[in-house]
Amino acid sequence: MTKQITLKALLYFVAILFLIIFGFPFVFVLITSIKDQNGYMQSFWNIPSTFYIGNFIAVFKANFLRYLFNSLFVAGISVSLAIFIASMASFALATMKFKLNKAVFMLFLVGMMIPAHTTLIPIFALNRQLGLLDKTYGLIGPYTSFAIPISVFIMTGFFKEVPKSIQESAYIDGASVFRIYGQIMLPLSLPAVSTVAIFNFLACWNEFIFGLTLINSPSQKTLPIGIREFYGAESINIPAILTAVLVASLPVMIFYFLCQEQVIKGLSAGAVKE
Amino acid sequence: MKTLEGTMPGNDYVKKSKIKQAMKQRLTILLFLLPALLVYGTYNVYGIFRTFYYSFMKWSGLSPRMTFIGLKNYINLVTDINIWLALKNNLILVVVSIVFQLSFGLILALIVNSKIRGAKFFRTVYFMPMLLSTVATGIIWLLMFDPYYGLINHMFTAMGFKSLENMAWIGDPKSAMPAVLFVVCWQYIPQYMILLRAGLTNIADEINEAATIDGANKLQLFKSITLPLLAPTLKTSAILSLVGSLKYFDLVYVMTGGGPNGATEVMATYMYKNGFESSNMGYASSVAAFMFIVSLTMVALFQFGTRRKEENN
Amino acid sequence: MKKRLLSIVLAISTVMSLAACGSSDTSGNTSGAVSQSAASDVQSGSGEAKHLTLWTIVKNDAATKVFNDAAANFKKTNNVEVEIQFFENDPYKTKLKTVMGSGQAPDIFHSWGGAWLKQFVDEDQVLEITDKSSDFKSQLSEAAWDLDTFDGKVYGVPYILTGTVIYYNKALFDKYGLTFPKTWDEMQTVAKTFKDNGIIPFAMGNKGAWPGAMYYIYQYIRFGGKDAIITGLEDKGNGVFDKDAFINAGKNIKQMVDEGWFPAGTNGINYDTGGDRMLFYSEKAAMMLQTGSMSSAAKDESPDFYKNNLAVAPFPTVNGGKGTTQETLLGNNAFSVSKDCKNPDDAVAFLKYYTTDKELNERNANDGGILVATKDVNIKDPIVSGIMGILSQSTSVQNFFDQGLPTEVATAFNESTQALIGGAMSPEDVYKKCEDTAQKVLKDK
Repeated sequence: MTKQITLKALLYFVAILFLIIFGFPFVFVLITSIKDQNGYMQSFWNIPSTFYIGNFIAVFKANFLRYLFNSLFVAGISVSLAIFIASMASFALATMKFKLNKAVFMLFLVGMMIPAHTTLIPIFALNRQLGLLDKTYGLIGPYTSFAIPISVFIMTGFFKEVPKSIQESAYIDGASVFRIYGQIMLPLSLPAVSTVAIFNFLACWNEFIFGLTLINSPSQKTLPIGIREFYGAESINIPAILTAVLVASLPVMIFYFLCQEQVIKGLSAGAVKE
Repeated sequence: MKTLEGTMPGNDYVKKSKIKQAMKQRLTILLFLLPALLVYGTYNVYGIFRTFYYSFMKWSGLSPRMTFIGLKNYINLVTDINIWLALKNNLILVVVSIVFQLSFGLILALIVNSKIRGAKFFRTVYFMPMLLSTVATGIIWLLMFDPYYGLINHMFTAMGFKSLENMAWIGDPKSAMPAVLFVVCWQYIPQYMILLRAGLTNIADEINEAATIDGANKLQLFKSITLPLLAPTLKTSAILSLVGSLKYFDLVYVMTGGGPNGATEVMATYMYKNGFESSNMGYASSVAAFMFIVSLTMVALFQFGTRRKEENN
Repeated sequence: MKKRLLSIVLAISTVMSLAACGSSDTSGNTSGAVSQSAASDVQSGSGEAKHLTLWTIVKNDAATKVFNDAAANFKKTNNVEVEIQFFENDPYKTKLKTVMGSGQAPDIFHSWGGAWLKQFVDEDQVLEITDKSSDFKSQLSEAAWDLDTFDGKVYGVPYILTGTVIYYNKALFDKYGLTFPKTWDEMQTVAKTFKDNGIIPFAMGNKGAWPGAMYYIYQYIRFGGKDAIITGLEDKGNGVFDKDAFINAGKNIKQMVDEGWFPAGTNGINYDTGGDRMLFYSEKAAMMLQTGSMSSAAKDESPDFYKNNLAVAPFPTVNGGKGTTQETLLGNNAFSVSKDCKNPDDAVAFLKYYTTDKELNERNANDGGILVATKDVNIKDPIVSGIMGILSQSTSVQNFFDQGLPTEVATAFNESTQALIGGAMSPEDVYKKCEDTAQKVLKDK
């Protein structure tokens, strides 16, 4: 009995230790965002008695709404596009028989195994040639492309699980391939679609190196690039910087607290068994 | 492979003109595949080929002017000590990621899966780092690691470790890599927690059955049943971790820029530095090509190794 | 070179004397010239405003206002819209390279002149403006123009002098009864006193590697004197660098490191994000070797400190060195016009207005704490005029190695001095690395 109690105590100890390690930085950001610079320098721990709003004003003056909009725009369009074209490809790969089926599937699969960063220079050169440099929408192409492999992988797997009988009976009823895809398979696969959507949305939302290389103007920047820039511009104003971090993270945080199960499922998308 | 053989156009349903039907079927397949192939082909596939193409060029990137120099970039690459140091850091990252992220991920998964009170609350908090962008993560930890104004040193001093008062975590070549590794783990352990918890949930029933039959104790159960059943999930997680570690860029760029003195340089930052800072896009492309080859080889080796082991078992 | 130096000295001393005389009689003449050319442009132009983009790294509230006002005025007089974008220092260097040659380069871009600008000139990305700039050339510092001129062809208009001096906290010096040292031996006592009282002698944030390189270059020219000054990559018979001066300089830097004159983890502290300045403002550190960018940053970030504590002094002389305080580390910030620019005449007209207008540049200097390259400006700001005073005493100038030397050599120098400060290389190693790289580059030419 005592052994069980000590085990239990150990469990709680470890659980709380990790709670501090993972949770504390968030508390730190939250507390600091309502302090002014002097308040921060005096003490890191104090919870200030007054709410200093200056940091939030600085953040919103610095174009953050614009960054937010740009990020939503790029991530939204890229994810929608990726899901649309990847689901079509997955439909073909899962339900149609043709010689190169396996090869094409492998081609997409390899995309998951190789680092996207190796294509940074060619994509930079391509966007430069096409006049897409420093345009938010110039990110849509690469973001969509990078989202395709995992989307194809997950959706193909899902389509294969759909009982054959459903499609067969639809076909006998005279439905075309396109109707089977659009009106039967796609609606049936909504859980897979939402998983893929969340996974890819977060990937685009947080993407850094391509945004960093392909965008220059403040009006075109996405959130991660915007935070990095704000960090450089505010330099020693740490509360303002952490406020920017907070503001930029808030949309995803709120979404997470609202639909936690969905988000967690979306982010475990990579773990689908082979 | 499950297909709709016999139900799709082109098979025995329509017998009029097989050739015409076959053409139509091919067209349909192509129609479905083409958009994805086109986009993926333009950026991913063509991108890789272009990377190799550029790697044979002397090209500053400041203008379209480039000249073919054969293998010169690769010859320089092989003798460039920095790329090997960068590769070494990538490999450290791989090992640390797989070992620490997976094991701590598993511990956390077991915690949130246990009958601990407030398990859901614990899970909610543990998961939060996953939601931050890497830039945000990097900035938060950079500020916390600051030798004079950072929270971490204040915490240590308050706890009585006086020698750590002005410890320069990021500024000292000895501690910079461990500090970065710590943050990488902080950021990614939650992901593996979630992956492994999903794995645990899937096998929960089997465990219960086994347990009731054998009456085995928990540790035995874990070793002989849980872990083997979890193996496929662990393997996928390890591959994810492997690929992620080999292309690592964001956090290193934000926190250290590869410094001090190259102590935290990884292949991707070295590529970026050569291409976009020192205007040597040709050489940077050979670094990227190297990264591609290393990644592919490692994944193949890993697949091969684990498959062999599975067969032996 | 001598003639030019003389002219910079003359130029700066005129500034000083004018500053002493007062301002009322010097306004007006240059802005008149601009509005004339402006008027003719408006007549010839159509109703639609033309558009120019300008990239700069000047980061300061007052300077930003000056830029915006200049753009607004220029729009009124010339019907040309100037869109100004501000960048952080180190990222800017990368950013500009990504757009050069893309057809999307900014019309006007910030540069540091020297080899840094030359790399773009060599790729044929920069517009030559020798003729276009000839009518206002005399109104800006000659030494600065030199840094933007290659083979007699002008590629940039200087707007800021980046004179490098030691900034120090005079209140801290007073507190411990110290005066600012004239020699490196005296500096030892000063540094020891600060150290004993728990104060870091020098706030240096060396993440970018160029701040540490500046300490090194100063030591180098203090040891080697004006003969050791490097103006370009050439072997004077016994190497590109003066070996003794170079190694002695390294030894002094090493001593500073070993005795803890720099903050812990200096190689991880970023000047761009102000980690070192924070130490300086909060009196955790007493001195800082920096360019003119420091005064403009401090004026913005810590106005009280700027007013009450800040002072400037030349880098002390070293024992056994041939150098004096009359050799100064000085570069410039310039604006160049890119080849992609569709309205080069308007671009140069704007640069002429921005760099020569009295009112704008007085605001830059006095409100922004900026060392403007414009001559005959009435400088009232004590720090700016203090730095100008130091520059006016100079008889020789040394450009920053990472701006005056080819990229490979610049990188080798910055990286190896950073390694020296990190304890990974010895002074001899640093010399060998730099000299070898320089010789290799010479041979490849």
